[in-house]
Amino acid sequence: MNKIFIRTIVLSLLCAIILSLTACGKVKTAEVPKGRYVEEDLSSNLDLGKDGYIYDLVRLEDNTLEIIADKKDVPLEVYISKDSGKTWSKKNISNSIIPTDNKISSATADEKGNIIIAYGLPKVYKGNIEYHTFDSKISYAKVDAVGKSTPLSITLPKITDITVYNSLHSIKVAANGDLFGVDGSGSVYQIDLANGKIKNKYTSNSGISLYTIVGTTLIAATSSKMAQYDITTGKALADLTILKDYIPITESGDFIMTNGIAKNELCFSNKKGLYRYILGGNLVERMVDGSLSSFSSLDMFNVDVVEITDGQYLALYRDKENKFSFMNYEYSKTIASVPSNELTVYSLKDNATIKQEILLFQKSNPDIRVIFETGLTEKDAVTAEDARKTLNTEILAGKGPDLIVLDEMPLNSYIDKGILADISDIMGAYIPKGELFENIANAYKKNDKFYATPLRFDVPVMFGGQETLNKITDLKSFGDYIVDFRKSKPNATIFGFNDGAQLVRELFAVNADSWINEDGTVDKNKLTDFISLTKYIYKDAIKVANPKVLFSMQTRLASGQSSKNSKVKAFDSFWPLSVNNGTDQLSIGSISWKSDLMHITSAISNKSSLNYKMFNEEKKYFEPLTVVGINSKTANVENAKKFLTYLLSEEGQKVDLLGGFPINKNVFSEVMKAKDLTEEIGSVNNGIKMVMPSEKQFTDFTAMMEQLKTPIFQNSIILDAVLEASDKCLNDEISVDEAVNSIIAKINLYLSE
Amino acid sequence: MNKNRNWKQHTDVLFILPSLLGVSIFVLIPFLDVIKRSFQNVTGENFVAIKNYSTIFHNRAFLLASGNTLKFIAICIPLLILFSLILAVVLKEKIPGAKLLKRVFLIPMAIPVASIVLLWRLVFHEHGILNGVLAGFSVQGQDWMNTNAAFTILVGSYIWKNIGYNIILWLAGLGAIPEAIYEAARVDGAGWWKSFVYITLPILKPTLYRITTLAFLNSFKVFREAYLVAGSYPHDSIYLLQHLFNNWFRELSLDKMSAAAVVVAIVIFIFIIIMKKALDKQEE
Repeated sequence: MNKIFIRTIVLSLLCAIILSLTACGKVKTAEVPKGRYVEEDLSSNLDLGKDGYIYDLVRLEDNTLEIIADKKDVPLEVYISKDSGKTWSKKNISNSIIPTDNKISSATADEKGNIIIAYGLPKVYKGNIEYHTFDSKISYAKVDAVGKSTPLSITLPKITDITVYNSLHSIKVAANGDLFGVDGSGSVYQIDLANGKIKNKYTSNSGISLYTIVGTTLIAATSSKMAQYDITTGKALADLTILKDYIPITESGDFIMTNGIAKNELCFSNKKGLYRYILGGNLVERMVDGSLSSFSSLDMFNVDVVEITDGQYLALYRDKENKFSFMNYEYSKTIASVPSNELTVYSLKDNATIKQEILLFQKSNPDIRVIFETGLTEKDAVTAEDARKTLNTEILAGKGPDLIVLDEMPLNSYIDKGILADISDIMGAYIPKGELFENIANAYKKNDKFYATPLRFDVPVMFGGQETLNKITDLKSFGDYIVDFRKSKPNATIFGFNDGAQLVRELFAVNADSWINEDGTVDKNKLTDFISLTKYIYKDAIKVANPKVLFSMQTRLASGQSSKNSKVKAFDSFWPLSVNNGTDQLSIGSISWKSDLMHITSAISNKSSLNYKMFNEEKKYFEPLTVVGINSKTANVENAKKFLTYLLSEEGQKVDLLGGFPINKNVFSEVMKAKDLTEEIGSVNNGIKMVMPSEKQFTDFTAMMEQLKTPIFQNSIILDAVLEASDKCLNDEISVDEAVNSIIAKINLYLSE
Repeated sequence: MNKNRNWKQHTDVLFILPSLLGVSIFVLIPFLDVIKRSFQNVTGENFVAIKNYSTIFHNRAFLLASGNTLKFIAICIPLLILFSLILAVVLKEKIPGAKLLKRVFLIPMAIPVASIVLLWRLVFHEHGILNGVLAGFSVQGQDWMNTNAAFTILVGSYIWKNIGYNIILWLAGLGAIPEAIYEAARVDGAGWWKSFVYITLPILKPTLYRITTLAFLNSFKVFREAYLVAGSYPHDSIYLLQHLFNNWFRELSLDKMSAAAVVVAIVIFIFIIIMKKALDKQEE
């Protein structure tokens, strides 16, 4: 009996253990729910060109869509579409409605197609970017369906604390025919269009930033609440607390409101999608998922939405260059409500380029949903190390991300430990055809296998007089140059930098590999030379820095903006133009944008004695940016490889929100030769006229890119140890020897682990 | 009668079963996996025999961390036991000042680690309070947490934080000694000291075993303070085993970590067995 009981207990224990270990077994797959909104790009149907600007997109009572716009030389243009935005035709409007030199400040249309315009004499500001404001009187006019214009007499009360004329912007016409608009103080005015008289004024303490009219209700968004007013009485109604979390102060970003087709229907959008809410209801319905549509785009912004038919929407977007595009959103019953395949992409920090890549990839792969995870968020107090450990736990548990952005991650350790999958097949599809910069792609090649690849890169360079550049070949010769230079010019600035930490970071990136031995120990003599020379260069710069520079440096440090804390890139600001005007002898930084190259080549065109070169002609350093690899333990290998292939493709490489040159040679060439930078070209900066680099300058620069061979030294633990000790050493709190000993103690311990 | 005894044995097992299940699932079985991994390479694909053990015993970081951890335990535990016993006796004997002590001795336990860490930084930073006071006496200050003084600070902090808990354990032991034994001793002419040495201490031996074991296990928790004050790479003198495990985990060095974990588990197991044997011997 006793034996049987004990055996029963042991057996149940074993069963429990086995069950606990097999709890993650196969589960019967449920039927995939179908139905979701699908985005269709209709932009090609109406091209307003680069100088066209859309003021409003309106649905008329007969479901015609109307666009009120203008162009550089056309003061008013109206387009209509009778087929939900598929085709557009231009309406004949006289060019004389708006007086010469005047410009529209705001425009809209009522349900019958009558256009209301506000216009005035713009004050144009020309600089790097041209823009205009309206400081003079604004006039209003109504243009009826046949193009006849009638002036409107609207006079707003003056705002006492500002001197400009008060006028309406963001104008709209309600169903009852009243005109609405926001004035300079953030109040909404309701105006009787028949006589121009003010019917009601709606105000909020924090000012109304956005409004719409749904039936007889004015919905007004302020920075903290969503207010409601009855436009028949002018009285305030209860706030829409249910919408508080969606209004602009949240992280959702862009916020657009409009009225829907159904009675009391409010439509609004933010970065998370397009929503619908019936006034008085308790439910906010998300119609379109932002992550699967352009609503979450980072390089274009939703500026208007119209419900075309019941449940079909047309959204208007504007990109950073003011180019407009249209997206149609229609419900499809046959597509899975959530894409059947999921892919997870992890990045320690937020990465705008990757987020945009995800959006574009999802558009062309509607069956794959890509989830972007970041280790560090602004919401919680997670440290980078905690985030890395959490990721490691997930990877070891087999629940890690499919694709990892390896910036600031222990990349070499991941390669050694087999965490990163071999991506040679993907790289092999590009490299033999010469489509990638092979020298950059090879950065993380080990034993003839690729485990990670940078998507972008930049190049640390020195810029200055050719004679000066010839003298500087390494850190030691840099020190010698300063000694020599001081003999003739004791008070001249040699080069500028934000603070000591920035100097250390930059010199560390292109020197550290020389003082770390192959056996994993630190070469004390070389490290001592590095710290001594860095300190010498720093002290020399501080000695001759003007009080303004010193004050700015101290202010930055006092406000916690030390370069010690920013770890996005090794090289920060680059001011080549200060060399041209004689302020500095040298400029140290990285070329990561075409405009950086343009500054350099413009300066060289202006003064032929100037030139630029790599930090170390032998090592030929470059800085890998947005390095990605695939988790070797992922079960989603095919989709991960598909996404990585996309990231390296010409389409994927064109996405650039963080800077750095694309690794794809064709895109690099296209980007460099594109006739953009139009706002900068021709402008004068620091006495130099900006000109596009010549064909030869492009060719030389491209040749330089092809020679790059060594990634800069990146190891956050070693860098932290060096920054901590060098900070004290540069400020004379400890000697060079003490700093070196402190660094060696920490690094040797780290390397011995 | 026999039936009853059998049933009693079965009920014993039933009482243990829930905890045993929990410990098996969350500790014992994962530990078996750790033992398995300690004989495999980092990816768990190849058997490497005792290579990982050989690696860690030649690893400078492991030797340093083990040495520091053992040194910390060897210094802290005797000091903690001694000081807490003295204070427990003071409290029990109602010596002047005992009342005040009774009110405050648990306060360090109630202070969150984050606050202690903040206090350390305020006091021991190179621009901190201690250096400010020393400057008043024209004594040159230093960055205390980056010198050998860091170890002393860590020991002091551990004793200060844990002494209250140990006092309670000692008081429980002291309270369990019947007053009649002391009265009988006093009748026989024994003074306070003789009563303490010949009555109190022998009776407190089982309590000593419990306190030592708990203090030993608690001593590993001091890593929190050391990590929060000085990060992953503190001064060499306070680089403990947990720092190393933490850093190995960050680098995903599971092979070395598993081998080291097995070694540490064996050492702890041996220590507890020795303690138990010593106690059993005394009881015999």
